[in-house]
Amino acid sequence: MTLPLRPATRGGPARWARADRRLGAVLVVPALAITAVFVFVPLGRVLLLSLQGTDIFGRPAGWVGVRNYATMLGDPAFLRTMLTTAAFCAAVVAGRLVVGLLVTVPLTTTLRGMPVFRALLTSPMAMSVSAASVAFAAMLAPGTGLVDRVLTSLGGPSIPWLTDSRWALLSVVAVTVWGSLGFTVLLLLGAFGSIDPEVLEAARLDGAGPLRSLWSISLPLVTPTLFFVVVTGTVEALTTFGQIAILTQGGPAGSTRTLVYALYQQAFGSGSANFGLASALGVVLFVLVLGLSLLQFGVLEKRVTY
Amino acid sequence: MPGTAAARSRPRTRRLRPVAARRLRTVALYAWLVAAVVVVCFPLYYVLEGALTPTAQLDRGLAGLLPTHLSLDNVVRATQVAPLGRQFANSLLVTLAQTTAQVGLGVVTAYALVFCRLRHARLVFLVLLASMMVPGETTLLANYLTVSSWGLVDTLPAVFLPFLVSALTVFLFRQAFLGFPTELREAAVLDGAGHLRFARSMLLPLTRPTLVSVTLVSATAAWNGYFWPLLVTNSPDARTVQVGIAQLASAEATDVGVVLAGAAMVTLPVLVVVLGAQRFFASGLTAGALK
Repeated sequence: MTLPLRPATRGGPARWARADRRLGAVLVVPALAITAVFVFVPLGRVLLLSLQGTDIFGRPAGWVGVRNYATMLGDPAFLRTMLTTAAFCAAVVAGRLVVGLLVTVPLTTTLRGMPVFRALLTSPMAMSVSAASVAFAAMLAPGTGLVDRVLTSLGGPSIPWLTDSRWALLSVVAVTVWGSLGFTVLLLLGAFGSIDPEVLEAARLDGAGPLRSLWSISLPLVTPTLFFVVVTGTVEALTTFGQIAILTQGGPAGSTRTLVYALYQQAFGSGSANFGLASALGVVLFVLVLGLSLLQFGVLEKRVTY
Repeated sequence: MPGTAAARSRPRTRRLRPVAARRLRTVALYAWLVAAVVVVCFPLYYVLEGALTPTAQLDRGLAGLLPTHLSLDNVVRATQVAPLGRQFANSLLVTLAQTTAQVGLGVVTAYALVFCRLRHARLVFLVLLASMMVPGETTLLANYLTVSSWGLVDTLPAVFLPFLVSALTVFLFRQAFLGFPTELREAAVLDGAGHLRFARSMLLPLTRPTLVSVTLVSATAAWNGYFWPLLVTNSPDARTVQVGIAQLASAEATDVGVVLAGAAMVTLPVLVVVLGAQRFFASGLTAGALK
């Protein structure tokens, strides 16, 4: 940003520019220093830790080259963890898109009372991961939970939502989709709201019904936002921890053990603290998140240029 | 009014059909929205109602969902079996420190990037943006070692130290400052206003909506933190309330009312912000998406 000359009361414009620059340099130092200490240096350190062994106290001990990665790749549990992670991410993102659209589209109509519905439908944002997980754990508890009580009192079956490996992942997915619904709806509302009403009016005059106009006009116009939800939703799902820790602890039988939860168990789980192996998992996570971020930036850059 | 194409294809029903169809559509939409509200808001309702309803009543299933036996017993018991009050205060302190730092450093850094003719402003900005691509779940392994080597494990500073700077916050303030009218900036300079006076009397008042929404979002994120606070605290008195209620839930799993009372305590402050400052909160949350 270029500025006109400053009134040359003391020294000249050049002196002012120098003073400005010096001030600017001083002002950016704290943020850069803190980011270096808590993001970039730790990232480098995790890369190095992933090449080191671990002693019985979990402390780094000696260089082992790529042995941690070899151990990781040779472990069938790792493959299972990655498959679980992929299934979890895909289900969460699909759920967010589908449920998000099902909730948002009716909200875009001009019917009376929409602000109230909007406030109500985005209110789950108020619940933290911890509070939501605790509440769902109470609702889904086998036998004593509200859902089971209601189901069985209506003559239905008792479903082991969190204690059966066929249900647990689905339950965690549902809680995650619910928890992110408010944000998804806000994003989609913004996208639908920024569609030029004249385009929709033109479609209507051409005889397009509401569903046709949604499918052929609105949805294509909000694809950038849908793409944003897919990419950031995948990153969010990849880094999910709280729901899994509180609802299932990665179980039963490892059925909800995702990459981040496996990392947590390796580094901080009871018994075998293995920072080397955990760091290797951390590097895998970093590579995945970096790839998704670059994808997002690349596509956004393209969008900005036309 | 009915579209001309529709009128041509269905001349006879043109007066009746659209009205009836529209009414039916309206009813269907409202029915759908009401059903969505019931499903989406139920967990929130259950937490708030359950916090004030005795467990014996809650254990009756459907009948327990009616708020007929309201009392504060659960809340009282929850604060007796766990140091929730202390943990609540811990969370408030962490939120205050983290938000103040993120907003303060965000404003200062963005100001330098936009108004100080910094030589490598773009590079600095890109470095900060790049930090957003590094997942905290990766760096927390090394950050844990750092914080424990500083002897800070089980203290409150450990909880907020790694989060003093938020690149997203810098990004959002930079956006807002870039949109600041150049003429006003020039006028301030011609008036001889220094940086501090310009920032205090023009820039910040005019970018207040951004300031408010970023602060709210930043505070909510700090309040809601779970993974890192879980790692760096051990003793009940040093825990944040988010970790506290999760432990309360596993310790008192049979007493649903107490568990829900804990969840309600944690949720209520954010609910007030989300509903009370809806517009600010929403725009803060989505601002990052609308680059």
